[in-house]
Amino acid sequence: MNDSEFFTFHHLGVAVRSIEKALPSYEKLFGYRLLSGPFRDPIQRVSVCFLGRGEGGDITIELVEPADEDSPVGKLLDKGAGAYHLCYEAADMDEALRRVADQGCIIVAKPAPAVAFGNRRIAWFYTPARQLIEVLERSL
Amino acid sequence: MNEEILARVRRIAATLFDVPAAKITAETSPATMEAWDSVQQLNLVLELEQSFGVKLEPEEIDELRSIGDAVRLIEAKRVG
Repeated sequence: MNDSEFFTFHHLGVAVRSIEKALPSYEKLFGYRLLSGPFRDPIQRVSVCFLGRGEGGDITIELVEPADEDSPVGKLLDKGAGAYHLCYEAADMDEALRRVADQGCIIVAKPAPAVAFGNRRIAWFYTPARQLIEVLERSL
Repeated sequence: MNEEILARVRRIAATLFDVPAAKITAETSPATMEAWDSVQQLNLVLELEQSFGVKLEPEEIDELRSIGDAVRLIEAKRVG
């Protein structure tokens, strides 16, 4: 299986100060609707929700709000971050992390269950091209 | 502390943070270097891994709090 089959795109992560304040502009300007959430994730120290338009080829957007003052996402927002991560699904988390390590990526966070995905595990890595990527386990 | 490794790490950090190498010491940390934020922390780790041929664990990346920490980590991994 090549990498295009192994990893499938899941969503684009966008850091926002407030989901409540950010949501209306996505709904009114672009016609997005709330797909799920908000969920509070104590491990990642964020609240997240997912938006979509249900149109063919369109992507899911994850709005990510810092849950406390020390949240890593809050620090990113201090620097002006908007869209800051891509998420890909993979059937085999261990194999996914082996593949990214082989490509010179650094594993930023080991797999941990995520409330927003029904406790499916997520992990984080950073590519040599300086892009933050989330890996989502396809099933429990 | 290994002076050769320290000198190389100082040069890498100076380039990354866009400051003269003389401004980087073993004590330089995110608290003393404004440009050293969470994203630059990851960029620093990328540069160190590529330059020294080492791999850092997520816990080691979290605990890397100064240039001296980076030097000690690289030293330990090269010995190991």
